[in-house]
Amino acid sequence: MSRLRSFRATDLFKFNNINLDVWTETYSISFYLSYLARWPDLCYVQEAPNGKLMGYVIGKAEGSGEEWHGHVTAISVAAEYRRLQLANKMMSLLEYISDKAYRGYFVDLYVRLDNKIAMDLYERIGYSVYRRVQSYYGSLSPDSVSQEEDAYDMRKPLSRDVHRRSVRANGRNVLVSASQVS
Amino acid sequence: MSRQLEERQVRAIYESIDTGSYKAAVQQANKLLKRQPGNVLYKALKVLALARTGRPDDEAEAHGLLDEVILSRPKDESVLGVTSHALKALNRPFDSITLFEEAFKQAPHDEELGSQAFMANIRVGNWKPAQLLATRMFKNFGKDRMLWWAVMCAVLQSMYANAQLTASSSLSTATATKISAASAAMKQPAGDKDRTDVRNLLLNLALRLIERAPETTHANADRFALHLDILQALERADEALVMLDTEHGKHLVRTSPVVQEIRRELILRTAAWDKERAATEEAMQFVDRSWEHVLSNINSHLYSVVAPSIDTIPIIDPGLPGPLPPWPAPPVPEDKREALLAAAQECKKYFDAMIVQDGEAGKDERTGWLALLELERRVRAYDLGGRETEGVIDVPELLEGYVKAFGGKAVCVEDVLGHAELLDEAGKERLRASAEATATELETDVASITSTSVLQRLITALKLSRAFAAVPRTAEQEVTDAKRYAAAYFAALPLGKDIPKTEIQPADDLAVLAAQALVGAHAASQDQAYLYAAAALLETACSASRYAYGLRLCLVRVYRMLGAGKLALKHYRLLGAKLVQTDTLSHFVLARGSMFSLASNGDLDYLAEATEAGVIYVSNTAETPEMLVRAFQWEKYSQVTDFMTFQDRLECSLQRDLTLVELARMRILHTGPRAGAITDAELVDMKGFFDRIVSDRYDNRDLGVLPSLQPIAGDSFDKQTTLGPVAPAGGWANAFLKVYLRTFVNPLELDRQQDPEVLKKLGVELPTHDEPLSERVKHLTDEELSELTEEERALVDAVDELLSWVERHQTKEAANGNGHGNGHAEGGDKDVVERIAKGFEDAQARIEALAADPDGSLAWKILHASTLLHERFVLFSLVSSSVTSKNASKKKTDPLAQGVRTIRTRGTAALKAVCAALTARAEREDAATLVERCKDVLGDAVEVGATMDVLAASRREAFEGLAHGIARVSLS
Repeated sequence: MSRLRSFRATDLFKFNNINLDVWTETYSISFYLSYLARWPDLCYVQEAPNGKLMGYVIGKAEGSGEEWHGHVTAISVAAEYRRLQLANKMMSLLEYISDKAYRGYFVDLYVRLDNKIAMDLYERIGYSVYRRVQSYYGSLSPDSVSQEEDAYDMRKPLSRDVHRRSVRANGRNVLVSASQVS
Repeated sequence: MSRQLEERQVRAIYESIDTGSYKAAVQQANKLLKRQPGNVLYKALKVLALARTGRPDDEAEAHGLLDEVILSRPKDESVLGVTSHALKALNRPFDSITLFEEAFKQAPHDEELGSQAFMANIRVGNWKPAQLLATRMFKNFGKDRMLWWAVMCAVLQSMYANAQLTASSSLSTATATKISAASAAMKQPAGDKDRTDVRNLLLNLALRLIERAPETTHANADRFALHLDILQALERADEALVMLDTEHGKHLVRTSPVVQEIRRELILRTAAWDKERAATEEAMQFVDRSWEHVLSNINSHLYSVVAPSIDTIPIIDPGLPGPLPPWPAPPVPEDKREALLAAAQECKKYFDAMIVQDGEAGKDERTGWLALLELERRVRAYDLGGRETEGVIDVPELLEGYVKAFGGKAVCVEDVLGHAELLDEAGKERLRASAEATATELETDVASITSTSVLQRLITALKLSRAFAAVPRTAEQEVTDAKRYAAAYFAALPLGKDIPKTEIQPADDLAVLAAQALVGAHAASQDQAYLYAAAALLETACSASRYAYGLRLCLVRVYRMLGAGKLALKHYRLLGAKLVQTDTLSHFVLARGSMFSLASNGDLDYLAEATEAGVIYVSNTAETPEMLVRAFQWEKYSQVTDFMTFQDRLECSLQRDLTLVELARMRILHTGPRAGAITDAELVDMKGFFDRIVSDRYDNRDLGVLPSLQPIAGDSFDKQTTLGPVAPAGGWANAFLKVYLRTFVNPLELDRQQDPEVLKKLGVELPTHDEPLSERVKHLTDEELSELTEEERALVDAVDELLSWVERHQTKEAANGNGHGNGHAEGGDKDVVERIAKGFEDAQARIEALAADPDGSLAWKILHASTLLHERFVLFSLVSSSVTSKNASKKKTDPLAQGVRTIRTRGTAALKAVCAALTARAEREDAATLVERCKDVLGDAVEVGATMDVLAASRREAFEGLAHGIARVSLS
């Protein structure tokens, strides 16, 4: 039970229970506010009835031509509010707005290869690996032994992608360099 | 010089600036200026380079040169660009307006210049000139966005005219809540005019502007939402609903969260309860179980009987905490009480049915349950002449069922405790007994805990059993519970043995329970053995679950109590809090943090942490206005007031003031009594912060991340582990600001006001006071005093006594002159000197007593008292050095100089004795003794040796370091 509402600038004062998670990065003021100043309809929070933040998603619309799409920049749910389908609901709304308001062809996101839990979640809700981006993450992940890490670019087609071009059966084997992606 | 050569040289300056070689850039610019002294581009480049060197002399030169550049009214794109950067670096946003407006006047067809001038106004909140400019630009260039800029600026002006009107007659509630904050930020004078007229005039102006815009411009959801908001504010909600009923409106409701939010408010304001109920029930049927739908549904049932006054509609605003915003419960006429209860019963039926349907469908849904609890809460909030207590549901029974259904979810305890106020004592006991039975059943067969879901059920049961336990708890009860929780923790730990190290262990909460029970045992007995055991357990749990922030925060609190500031800081840093999080989280280590800093001994860790915590406020000043500009550029008008509120909450953050004070305190203990220990800029900030009234501060500190699993009828874990009577807040900040301003700034400087013309230009209205600042810093209010520890009060009193005495001499008043200060008794020089000197000796005696009793005194108290005594001595030295230098020519018999000498002699002796006590205390610090004290508390389950080793080492370092530091700074 939650309230799915727009992300507001003042939510930055109350998102610690989400951002103290090891996978969730905290960015500068400009980062968050630049998203809100441009794509407020792709940034949401899940709020508990008592006003506590439970999770949030930050997204944007980008690309051109048939690459025009919604992009999930960050999504996170606080540990104590997991297993409540909150991420699914935020993703659904982001996909819906990307489809109906932005008329994007697909929604995509990047995920570390070793973040199995997240990947399973995305696969369950219709995402599949489109390609593997080499050295996408320049910094170490909390438990990584390598200096740089690859990411999977996972995509989910929207209604405009009638030919389902954003779905690839062999996406895990399609390698691209980080400089080739936006 | 050829043009080519000139371009090359100019490029070289740009490169020098880009690479941070500002000195070289200045030299290069000087060379060019020698040949062409009037060249504005060269001047502008020199200004930019000077502004970025960070040296005060360069900055002063930059300001002068910048004035010349602005007065030359440049219009060249390069000059404007460079000058604009220089203005930002020198923090002169108002001159940016002049720069671009003058350029635009000279080139009125240059759209880009007009936009720059408009945005320069936006950065500083100059709404009226911005609106006029945008209107003019729309006429000249015909771009829709310019018209909407003007609309938004008119609305912003109406908000300030409207700042003190009630939310009901204002713009949307969410917006209105923000306006007062935003208004406070801008300090726009309210004036005596009829604000409603002014406000409506401006809103009608905005509406007229919109009517001039082509219909197609509404395609943008934020423009559409702004239009709706204006209509709503003008009480023309019906027209707004008509707009929403169009195909375009319906499309935007579906695709824009902003439009959806305004629609919901419009429905409430137009009392369309039936329509809303139908809409929410339809939505919930299709599994959109939003909390908003639940609230709308409950409201629609209750309001259909007793519609609240439009002023008191409890619209749920995400900006407000808690499930039920503060609103006056509307009285219910006697003849409607039955009807209201009947409507509540009808609503109950709907959610009862939902629970049954969800259960039959096998859905794991909490909606119906929580909805019923909210319904009950709202019914009880009405004044039903006593019948409200009947309610509509059996709360204990419902909650018991809820725990049974959802006890396997981590959120269950929060849900139950969030409704604890609906339970009477019998209800609480029923839930406790039920939880206890579940816990006992699960515990009897630990082997049955083979899944995280069952483990979660055990955790839920134990938490609830503890939460509803009767208080006060004895130490024995708490230790028994701690053992129970710890046993369950270690039994359940293997469940998480295969999870990735980045995941938190499912059993972590059991360790938190055990540690908090031990802290409870300490609270009941003052026996530190329990804190040692708590630290050992938490260390063990943290090593098994590296990223469990709740465990680590508990450990930070325990280590602070035990005087292990370095360890507390180490664990805080492992949380990785940064940027905006420093505003909300740094209080965990910086609250009274100077006692742990050891800056006097050259250890700069705490000082660095405080400095780092202050960076976000500088970022806010630099970044947020730029983001406001972006919101206008992208026409996301829904964000404008949010960004302003955000900026204001950081600008006027309580933690900002607290950090500034702690930083100053650490700094003077590091540098000793030097006049420049606190920079001019910091003193200007102190003066500015002090002049805000306490209520203007925003308390952004986040305590929600600190687990509190103590019985709800007793003290919270936060309270049990706070150092001092209360955590430092506005009163504490004011008390120290007064001490430091009075010590570091002379009265004439304190009373110097900013130029009224400049203030007017800034739209700033300073609060008026009966007394000048130089007098106000002499008095402490009860609120301020109540936040201080005994040692802090002693410092404040001593500094007051000292300064009052010096001031009396300096103003040539008689030694028994006017009564200043905090009510201390005055007397002749001898009496004053005796009191001040004895104050040092009394503190010394307190510290010696604390330090001599290692088992009975919490180490933080020793560090706190010693640090404050040292701080008192440094402040005394600062004041006395100015006294003795001024009186150097006088005879040695000068009473002031003589008194100062006496105080210094006795103060020095006191400090020496304290150093000896600290050194002796450090020598007694022994890990083996600590192990002996706590090894039996939890038995063999927890290995305490390693933790006691680091604890003893940390405390030894703290006591020794402080002794060395005092000696280095004040006794050498």
